[in-house]
Amino acid sequence: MPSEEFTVPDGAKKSSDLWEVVAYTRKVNKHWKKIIAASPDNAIRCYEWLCEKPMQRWSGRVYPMKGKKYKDAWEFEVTGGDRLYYVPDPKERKVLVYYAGPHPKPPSPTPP
Amino acid sequence: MTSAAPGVFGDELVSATELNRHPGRVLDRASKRPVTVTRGSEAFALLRREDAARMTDASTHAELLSDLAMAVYRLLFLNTPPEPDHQFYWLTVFDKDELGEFLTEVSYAFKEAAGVGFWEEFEAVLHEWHESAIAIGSQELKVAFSAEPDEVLLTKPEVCLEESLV
Repeated sequence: MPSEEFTVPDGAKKSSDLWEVVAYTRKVNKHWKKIIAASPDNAIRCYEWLCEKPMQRWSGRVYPMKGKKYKDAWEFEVTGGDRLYYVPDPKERKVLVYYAGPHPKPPSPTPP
Repeated sequence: MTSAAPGVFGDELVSATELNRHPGRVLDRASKRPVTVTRGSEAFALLRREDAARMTDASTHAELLSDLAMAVYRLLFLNTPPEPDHQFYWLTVFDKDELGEFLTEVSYAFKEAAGVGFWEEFEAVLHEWHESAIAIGSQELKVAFSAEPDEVLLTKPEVCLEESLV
């Protein structure tokens, strides 16, 4: 039977437009699940953002890291206390999440 | 009503007596531009509340920018970091190039904000640099980025939530 490509409704995202979102380690995914359990709505919004537009800045909420050390990484403030740090690869359309969990604590001041 | 030659602030001068006699007219003027009300040697500014709020906002942010610029200057040219309890101590994680970039970005954001009176973007830029500094100094994050890879698809939240209901 001849087949034809399913017509995507207006406004809906084609699967080819979406990014693949991957946890760098299973530990990251485990912590991510805790975020989902604690803040499901925020987690859903975060996941959708990563799938659709991981390299779009949301002022003060989703942004590329400053400085050389994490030059290609982005930070996503999932909630007031939880963060995701990820590196998007536009060629592969892949998002690699390196960290999901509580906001890292600022280091104790040490003499320069 | 006196309309003296505009002073430094280009506002109109009105005596307290005139304000008393013609309050509505004076307020109409003040709704368009600041009015200075004089009483003897004293001078008072009469302006819209939102204009006063906007000026206060701009002044607060200018002070912040000034503190920031001083901290960066001391780091860049005097090799003197701020004290650990200083609000901009976190700048010490950045090198000279990065500090230059920081100052450029923040100054631009300040200029844009001052022009329109909305400070959210300026505050967001500062916030993003601060968060980045925390990330750079975080041992936890360093470990996360240097871990051995063991990739797995990030669980879709809906799937996780459905499983938790079963």
